[in-house]
Amino acid sequence: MQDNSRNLVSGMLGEEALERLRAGSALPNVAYTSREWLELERTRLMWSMWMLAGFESRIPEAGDCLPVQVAGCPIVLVRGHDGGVAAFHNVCRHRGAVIVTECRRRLGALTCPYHGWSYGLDGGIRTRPHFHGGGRHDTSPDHRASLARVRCESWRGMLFVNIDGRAEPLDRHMAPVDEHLAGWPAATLAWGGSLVFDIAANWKHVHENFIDVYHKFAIHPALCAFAPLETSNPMTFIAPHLAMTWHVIARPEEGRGSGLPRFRGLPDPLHEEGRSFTMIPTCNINLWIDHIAILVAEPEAPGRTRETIHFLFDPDAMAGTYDRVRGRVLETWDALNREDVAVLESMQRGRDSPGFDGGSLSSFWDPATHMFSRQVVELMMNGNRSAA
Amino acid sequence: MLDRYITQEVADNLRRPPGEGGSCLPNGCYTDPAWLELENERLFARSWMYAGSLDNIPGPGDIFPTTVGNRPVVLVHGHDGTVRAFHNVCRHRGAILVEHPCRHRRRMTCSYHAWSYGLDGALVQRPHFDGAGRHDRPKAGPGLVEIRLARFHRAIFINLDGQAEPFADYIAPLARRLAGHDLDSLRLAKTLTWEFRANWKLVFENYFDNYHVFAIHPRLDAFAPSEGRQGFGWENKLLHTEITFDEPEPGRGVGLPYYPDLAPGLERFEAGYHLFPSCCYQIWPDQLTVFQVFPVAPDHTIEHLHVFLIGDAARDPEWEEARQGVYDMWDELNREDVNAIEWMQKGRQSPAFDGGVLSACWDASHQHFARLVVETMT
Repeated sequence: MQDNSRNLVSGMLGEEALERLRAGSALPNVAYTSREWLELERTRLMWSMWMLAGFESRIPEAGDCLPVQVAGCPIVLVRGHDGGVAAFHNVCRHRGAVIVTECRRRLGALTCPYHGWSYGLDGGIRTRPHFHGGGRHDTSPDHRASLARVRCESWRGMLFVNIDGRAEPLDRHMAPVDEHLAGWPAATLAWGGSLVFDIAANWKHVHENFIDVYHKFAIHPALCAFAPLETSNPMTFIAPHLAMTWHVIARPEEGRGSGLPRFRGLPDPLHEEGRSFTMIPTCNINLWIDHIAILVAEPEAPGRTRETIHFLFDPDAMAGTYDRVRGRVLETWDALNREDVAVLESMQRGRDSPGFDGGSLSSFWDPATHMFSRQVVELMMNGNRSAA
Repeated sequence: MLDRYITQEVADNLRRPPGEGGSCLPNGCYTDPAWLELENERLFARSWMYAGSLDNIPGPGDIFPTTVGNRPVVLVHGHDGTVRAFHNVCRHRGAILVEHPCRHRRRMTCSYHAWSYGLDGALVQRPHFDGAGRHDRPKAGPGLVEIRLARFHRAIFINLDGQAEPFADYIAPLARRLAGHDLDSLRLAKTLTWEFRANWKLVFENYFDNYHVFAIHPRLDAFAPSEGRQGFGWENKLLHTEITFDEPEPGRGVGLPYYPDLAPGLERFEAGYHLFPSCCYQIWPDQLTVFQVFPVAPDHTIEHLHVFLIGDAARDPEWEEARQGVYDMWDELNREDVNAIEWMQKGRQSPAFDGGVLSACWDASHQHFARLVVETMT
């Protein structure tokens, strides 16, 4: 598999591009435009890593179900009778239809709408109506007809899935973040909605823009007034799959650190800082003193990405009296993100140019962007070496 | 080239009975643009494909452009009374020759450099071909490339590569089953259109799936309950289901004239046929509908449903309300299916789906269809 991956990756990129990548350039155009390359990224990179799928607080009770799409795969998160969360491939074993199509509460069973096959919350097949002909139902426990489980673990209330099932334990994967977040209370936080953007650019452009602190002086005037470039820091990798940055919050304002109950038990430094973590491949976690914004770049096609921003708040901040200020948080992120769309899409158009070859990067701001490109290729060629 | 998709294991599972691990086509056959292009080359080009009806070109000089797979073709009713099909591209620069249906023409003229062709496909004139003002009227210039064509009553079928089985053999199972219906009495009343974000095969597979009726189609299930249904059977390239119903209802046998001289028993006869791989025929005592699909992309299909009624019932204002009942019935039925078909397309992005765990009672037809796809393309 690894030799095969190595050949496929180098075959598609070419030796010259790999050499430029080693020498400090980013990925060549084909990695942003080719459907075959995206297929390799999905199967070799994304399926081997821990990918954010959802939040514990969205499915609090037994039978609560949340359908999601992760690296192209339809998956459903299910709160079981034992209180734990399980993830299953959200496809009926019969004809491959998606089973759960919207978030549902307290279901007794997962029932495919197409032919009524129903599965227990443990994924086991329960009944297949009319399976042997009209009126002749099947209730035998046929393991071939049970749902396929996806490895799912929880970190601070966030549910991650590992589709190939071979990654290291999630706790170990996230340990480098924990080191920077002692006392961070995410496990008790409430999911407070999400924003969705359909962007005509490759998912890596979206992710690289998470990493890119440099552009904010040119694209984000409001953010820059609030947290100037001079007090901002480039992203730095703290583990092969994780990068981090922080900035000083001088004057909190509504939507950015003011007007909502602050997280309890935050360590002192975090009262004056915003911190961001980007996780290879598609997730970006932004920590503020009163909310957490989590951005996910889900690829739909080489030139199309569905970006979702999820918001977590302290449970006290979910009270109706805070509706307006929580709304301000979402509006602030919405405005910030809209400022990025045009440049993301112009980078995608630029990747159709034979005059672009991976770029000339800033040695101050862009080492993390370069590292991201190298890590994508490294993980695709050699697999996720952290795998157990 | 097929091996990348149709591995030995897939091929074996297509032949195994449903209860013993039998399964269907792998996900790539529903999601990969390269596979769709293979289908264009090896499946649609090698098969007899429904292309239209005499109602699209009722008289001499009538011209009807369409597509087979993604290949542009044109049907022409010649002044000699002969119906012909051609590849719809000018021999000069490959522009599409006829963009829209038209009537009462003597020529087909390319919009780009005005090369014109007779309705028999012969090149007639090339203006300015040898320099400005120096027109060419070739005696034996490059004419349009003709396509093998056959008729089944008023329906027109074509075969792009010219190598398919004799049409009489292809159509015989259907012709025999519809011998009691006067198909020449039919006239096109309307074409209904739907769009699916799904592969064309899923649209057909849902068609010959009698199993889902109880879950998705409450009105149809009340009309003809699942308890009395069976899965589709097949005879070579014809997949079929036939039932006898108790009482007609609006849209299904009420308010419109029945076929003239309908053979005894057929006034309560309903049937659905898939003519592999291009269309389906639905027969009721008062109508024929032909359901045709146009693959746009692996996950995008347009469906046309041509509604044919008996004689004047297709057009006469007297029948307007009853006609609307037929359209409404078909529209409701198709809309009920859209979600299910699109759920299957989404499911084919999942590595956990492997062709499916099938019901021996209902799903053998899916395997037969899949085998026909593979056999035709091999």
